[in-house]
Amino acid sequence: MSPRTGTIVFAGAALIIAAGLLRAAARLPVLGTRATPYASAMNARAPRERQASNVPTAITFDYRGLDTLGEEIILFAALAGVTRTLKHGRRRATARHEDDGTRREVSRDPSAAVRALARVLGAGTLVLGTEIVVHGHLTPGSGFQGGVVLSAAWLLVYLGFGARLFRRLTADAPTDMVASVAAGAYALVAVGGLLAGGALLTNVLPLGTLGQLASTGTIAVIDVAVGCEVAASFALLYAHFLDVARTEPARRPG
Amino acid sequence: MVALIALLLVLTALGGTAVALTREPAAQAIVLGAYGLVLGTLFLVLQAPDVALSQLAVGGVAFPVLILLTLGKLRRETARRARTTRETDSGRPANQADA
Repeated sequence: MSPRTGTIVFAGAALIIAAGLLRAAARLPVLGTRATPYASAMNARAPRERQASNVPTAITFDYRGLDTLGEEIILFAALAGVTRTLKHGRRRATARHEDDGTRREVSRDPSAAVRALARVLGAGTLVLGTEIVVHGHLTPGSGFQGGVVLSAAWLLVYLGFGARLFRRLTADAPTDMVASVAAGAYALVAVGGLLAGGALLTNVLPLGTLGQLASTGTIAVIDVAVGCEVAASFALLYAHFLDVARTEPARRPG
Repeated sequence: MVALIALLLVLTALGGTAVALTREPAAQAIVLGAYGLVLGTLFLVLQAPDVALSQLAVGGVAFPVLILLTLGKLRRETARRARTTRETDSGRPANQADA
């Protein structure tokens, strides 16, 4: 298909889809209408039933906790795929290009301004990320959001303090263990609901009172587990990508 | 409030267009980060703070970082292969400036 024909086909399809989209958009509720039935029901029930003031977190970790368990397994599987591809593929590639098998760093030392900025921002990001994770059941944000904010903290460590400190903080074995244990903890909490006589993922821990840090039962536990898993997974993702991007095979001595 | 939402919707439209019209991949990654920021603010103004946090962290930080790292790796690989095929075995160090 020539480019010109492709453009004509695209224009026709775009017109049809635009017509459908406009027709659907005209039938949506007016912008600013908030009280959909499900939202109203959850806003009324969740604080009372689960003592959680962050209703989306109560939904994602309790009422629809099974979906989030699947999500965490997806993140875990993606991390496994990236690890497999970037670590072992690289070994085969370097063997093919006949070098001596060692990799050499090509990074430069960061400037003083970057170091100072990374210190301040990194500390703030670390605290913010931990706060978002720990207060997941009380304030906006939950384990996932706090975990990705923490991953930004790892990046600031890499930018400001160089690759060596970054790799020491995100060493493969301990970080792998944190990610695996946290993902397994979520599954264990789910099974714990079964063992305690209810259905999978039943909230079996004491619920406490609304607004306290120690409340909402298993929601807080799952929240911390998800936060740890996401932070560790992103740390390893960045570490593998950075390892591959910032090093190159050393030349064989001539 | 409505004016704020309207302004952010317009900025979102402009940002998306800018991302699509930026042709250089490295520049596109940066524009994508800025667009992620605008989108996150739109979600916040539409009263969805959890989604806004996710968008800011992923679309503003993680996604551009992974794109830039992949581009850096590709550029280094291409330069290294060009160097390997064209240079003689003269002992010239391999970490001089990439082409």
